[in-house]
Amino acid sequence: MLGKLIKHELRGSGRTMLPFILVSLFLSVMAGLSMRAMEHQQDYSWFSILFGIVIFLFVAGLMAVCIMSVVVVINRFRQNLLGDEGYLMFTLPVSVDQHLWSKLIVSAIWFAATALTCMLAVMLMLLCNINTFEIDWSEVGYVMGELGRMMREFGILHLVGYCLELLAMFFVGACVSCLTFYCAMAIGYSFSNRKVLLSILAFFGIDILFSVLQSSVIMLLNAIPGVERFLENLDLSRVNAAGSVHIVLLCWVLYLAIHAAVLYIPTRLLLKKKLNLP
Amino acid sequence: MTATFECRGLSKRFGATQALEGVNISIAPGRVVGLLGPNGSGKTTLIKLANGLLSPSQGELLICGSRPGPESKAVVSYLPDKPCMPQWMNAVQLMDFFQDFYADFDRQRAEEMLARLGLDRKQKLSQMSKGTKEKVQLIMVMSRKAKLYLLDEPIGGVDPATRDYILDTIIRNYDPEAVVLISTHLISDVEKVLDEVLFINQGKVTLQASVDDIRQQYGMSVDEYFREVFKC
Repeated sequence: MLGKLIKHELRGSGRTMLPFILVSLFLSVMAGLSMRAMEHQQDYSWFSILFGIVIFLFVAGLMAVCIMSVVVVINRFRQNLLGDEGYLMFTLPVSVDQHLWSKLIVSAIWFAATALTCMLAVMLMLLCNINTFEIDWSEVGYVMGELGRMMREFGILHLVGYCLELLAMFFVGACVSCLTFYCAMAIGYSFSNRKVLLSILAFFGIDILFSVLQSSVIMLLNAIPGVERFLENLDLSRVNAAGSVHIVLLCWVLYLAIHAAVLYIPTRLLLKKKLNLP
Repeated sequence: MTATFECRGLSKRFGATQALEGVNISIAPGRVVGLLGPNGSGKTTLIKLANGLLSPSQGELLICGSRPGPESKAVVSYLPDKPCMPQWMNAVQLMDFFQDFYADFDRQRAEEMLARLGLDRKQKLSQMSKGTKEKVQLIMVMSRKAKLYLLDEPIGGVDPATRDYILDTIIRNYDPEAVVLISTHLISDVEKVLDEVLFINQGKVTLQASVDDIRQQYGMSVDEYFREVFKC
C-alpha cells in the first residue's frame, strides 16, 4: 500500500512541480543561448535589455522551483490529510504511518529533484557557451588525477560508504524539515478555529523548543562530571582519516534521526487520536 | 452470526460537549438502516467513529468483529456529507485510485454507472456542478462490494430528481449481504428503502426497530412517528 500511496502522491504533487522544473530548465537554455548571442552582438542597447530580462527570468525560475518544493510539501499535507480530502485519505485501508512515510519520501524526492534541477540548469547554461570558455585541459587532468588518488587512498568501499551516509543525511534532513511543518500543522489543525494562525505559532514554538532542548542537552552534558574530560581525550586521529569521516557523518545522521523521531511521534499521535477534519 | 456493525457502551466527548453517550447498537448483515435524528444529534459523530476518523472516549465500536483500522476500512465504503475527492482528478483517475486501494472495487460497475450518467470521463471534478460531483462520489462509493456502506446525508442539499437518482443508485448497487447505514433527517425520502431505523437524539440511541414494527405498532409512517417523537 505504501507504494500505491507514493505513486498517487507523486501524481498529485507532480502536476505542480514538473511544470516549474521544465520551465526553469527551458529558461536556463534560453539564458545560455542569449549569453552566447551577447558575445557576437554589436549593438548592445536593445539586446542587453532582452538579455537582462532572460537572466532575470532564469534566476526567478530557479527560485520559484525552490520555493514551490516547500509550498508543495506544506500544501499536500494540509489539503490531502487535514482538509476535505482527509475524508477520503483517512478511510483508505492504510495506516497513519504509511500516510506519513509516503508524504516524507515524496517530499524528499522533490527536494532532490529541486537540487538536481538547479545543478542541471547551471550546467545547461554553461554547456550552451562551452566554446566561449577556454578550458585548461591540464587543470582538468590534475583534478581527475587528484580524485583518482583520493579513491585509491580511501578505498572504493569507503567512498561508497560516504555516498550512502550523505544520502542518508540528505533524506533524514529532508524528513526533519518536513516533519517540522507537519507537526506544526497537526497541532494547529487539531483546534476548531484559527487553524492556520495556530499552525504558524506552533511552527515557531517547535523551533524555539528545539533550540532550548539542544542548549539544555549541551549544558547537561557539560554538567556531568567526566564528560568534558572524555571528549577532550577522544582522539579521532587514532581511528584512520577515512574512519573518522564515517564517525562524523554517522553521528550527524543519528542526531538528525533523533530530531526526526521527536517530531514524528506527536505528529502521528495527533493524526491518529486528535484528527479534526473540517 | 457476527454483527456487521456493533457499538458497546460507546461514548464520545468533545471538551464539555457529550456528543455520544453509552450507545449500544447491533446490526446484522443484509439490512438497510436509517440513522435518523435532528441536526446535532450525533449521527455524523457516530459515522466518523465507525470510520476511524475520531477515537471513542469510552466503549468500543466493532465492524465485522474488528475495531476501526486498516482492516475494517477495507470492508467499509464511506460517503461523507461533503465533497472529498481531489478536485484535480477526473472520473478515470478516480477509478484508478479506487481500484488501487480497494480490492472490492468493481470498475465495470463504475464505468456502467458513469456511462448511464452521460458524463465526460475526462472532465475534471473542479469543472463539474455540485450535483454531478455528488453523483460521481456516490458512484465510486457504491461501486465497491463492501460489507458496510456508511452514507452520511447522501440526499442532503440536492434537488428531488437527484435524490431519486441517489436512492436508486444505492438500492440497485449494494450487496444484499451488506449493511447500508444511511444518516439523514430527510426521512420521507428514504423511508421507502429502509428495513430498520435507529433514532438518535442528544447523543443517545432512543429507538432501534424495524420499519414494519413502527408502522404496525404506532399506525403511522416512520416520518410521521419521527415528527411525533422529536416535536419541538
